[in-house]
Amino acid sequence: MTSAAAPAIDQTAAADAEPLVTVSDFKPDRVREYMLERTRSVLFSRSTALSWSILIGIVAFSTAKFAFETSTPVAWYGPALALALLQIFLLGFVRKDMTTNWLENVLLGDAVAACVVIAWLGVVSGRTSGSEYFLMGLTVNTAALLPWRPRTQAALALTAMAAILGNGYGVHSSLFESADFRTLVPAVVLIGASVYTSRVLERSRLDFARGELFRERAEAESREFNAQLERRVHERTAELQAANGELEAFAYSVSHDLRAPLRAMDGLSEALMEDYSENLDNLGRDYLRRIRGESKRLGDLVDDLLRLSRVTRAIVRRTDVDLGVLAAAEFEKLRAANPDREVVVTVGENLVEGCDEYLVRIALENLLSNAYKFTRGQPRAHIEFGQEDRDGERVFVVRDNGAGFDMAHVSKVFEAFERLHGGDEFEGTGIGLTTVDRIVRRHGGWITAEAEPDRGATFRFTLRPRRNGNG
Amino acid sequence: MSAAIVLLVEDNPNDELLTMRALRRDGIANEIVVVRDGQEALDYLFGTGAYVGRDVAVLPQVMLLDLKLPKVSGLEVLKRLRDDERLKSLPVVILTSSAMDRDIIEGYRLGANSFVQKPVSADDFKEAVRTLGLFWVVVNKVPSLA
Repeated sequence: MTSAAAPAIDQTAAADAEPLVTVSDFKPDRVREYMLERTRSVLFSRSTALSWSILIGIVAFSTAKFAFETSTPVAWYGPALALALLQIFLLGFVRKDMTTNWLENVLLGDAVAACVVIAWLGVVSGRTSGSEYFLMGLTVNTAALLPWRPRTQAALALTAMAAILGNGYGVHSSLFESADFRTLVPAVVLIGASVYTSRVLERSRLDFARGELFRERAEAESREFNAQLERRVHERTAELQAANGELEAFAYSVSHDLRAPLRAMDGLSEALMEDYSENLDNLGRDYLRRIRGESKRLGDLVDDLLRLSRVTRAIVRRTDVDLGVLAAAEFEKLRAANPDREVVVTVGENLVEGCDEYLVRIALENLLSNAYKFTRGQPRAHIEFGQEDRDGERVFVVRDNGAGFDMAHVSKVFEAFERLHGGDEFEGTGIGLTTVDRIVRRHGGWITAEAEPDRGATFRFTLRPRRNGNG
Repeated sequence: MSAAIVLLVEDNPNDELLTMRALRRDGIANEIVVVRDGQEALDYLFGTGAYVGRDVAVLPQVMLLDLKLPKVSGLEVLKRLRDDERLKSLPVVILTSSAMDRDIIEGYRLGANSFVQKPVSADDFKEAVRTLGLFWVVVNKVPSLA
């Protein structure tokens, strides 16, 4: 069962699973959120946020000092605004990493504590009613920034506000008597800032939690997806192996069962020719010759088909192979098989290439014997095997000055069973170049043919995948 | 050496005919025993079945063994021979239609002395049988009979 293998795969997949991005990630509100996040991250990059905080801290301190000295309520606008900004920037600084809650608390706590001390000094000295509101704002702030639930924060803030207001009534009655509503402004600003910060903090906590959830879900999805993929790969591999096994059995059967009758046909025709030759006239002997010719052709066809199927399924095992040596050996064989022919052959130098020797030998056999075959009518036959450099790519070249072909039919050259010459002109099964093409492609290379009738043909091929990958 | 026997294990009558003809044409006058499946080959060599009572001490000079055989396959026959102390050294030439790498490797692994693919072409076939007949029957030496 495939399910039995799944848990083992899950574990490995979970270890390095990247959360997958799904289509739902690109909904408009998600995009807006993302844009906002980007802006925030630029504005509040750790260094900018810190420098802003320090700068505003200095401003807050000096304006507060000024407010103390002048005892003007309006003077408290300055420190209140500065502190509101400070808070926002510190928040931005802290928000960079939501997992370090302690940092958030320490930094904000310190900043606020410093402000409380300054404001408290103002209250104690009884110099200004503005400092009361400032203190009130700060207290609300502190309450809002503590990592409590919003409702607790609100309760705390209200209590503090009531206490300070009550205190203000009792001691100075400044709020209504002096009717200095302007002193309310910094308090309102600070309360607004604190409410905003607390909301932002809360939202970022929520965002973080939501992000975690999303990540977990994505991880689970990717795990499931990987497991499914793995299962599918297993299934396909099994199917492929079964198909390959069938193909092999088929090839085996073809190789054995198709050859036996052919051997009998040719063998018995030969026996007839040899043992009963005197009982046959020329026509009878010609018939027998034809039978033998056809059985040979069928035999070649079976062999070529088997080779093609073997090549198609073969695994490429690369070693350093001297293609020059392979070509020379093949030329030697061809020379021995065609003693009556005179062919000038040229083999280039430095033709060592990392490739599968077994497969490349088959390819060269096909290409060179083709060249030999098609130069048959050429009194000064010349066959050349060498290499070219094409934009840094190593290209092997087989060139002959034989019969060639019309480039109008070039698309058929590498197709199985396609022949550009009649059987009476040049024999062949039409599988040779298909096999070559298959071998070259198994190596990740390409092959082209170029020819002109009666001027020869040139085959170019590579045995490596293209590096820049275009094509 | 009229005692030297060639054991031909071949189920295809045409192949049998052509092999016999090729051997005879090349002047091999030795007795050629033809068996038509793997079981019969084993019976002949071990003196069982139809060959009860045959003097099993008389070993063929060479056995020409096809691989695709009815009942018991050629490779199985070879395996049983090599497991037997007496038949371990019997020269075995695999003479078969297929030349699958698998069969060649397995054939040699099981102790074949030679592997010859039957060519389709009559001329090549004649030449192959002539060469191996000449070598294994005439040139090659086997331990003299006990």
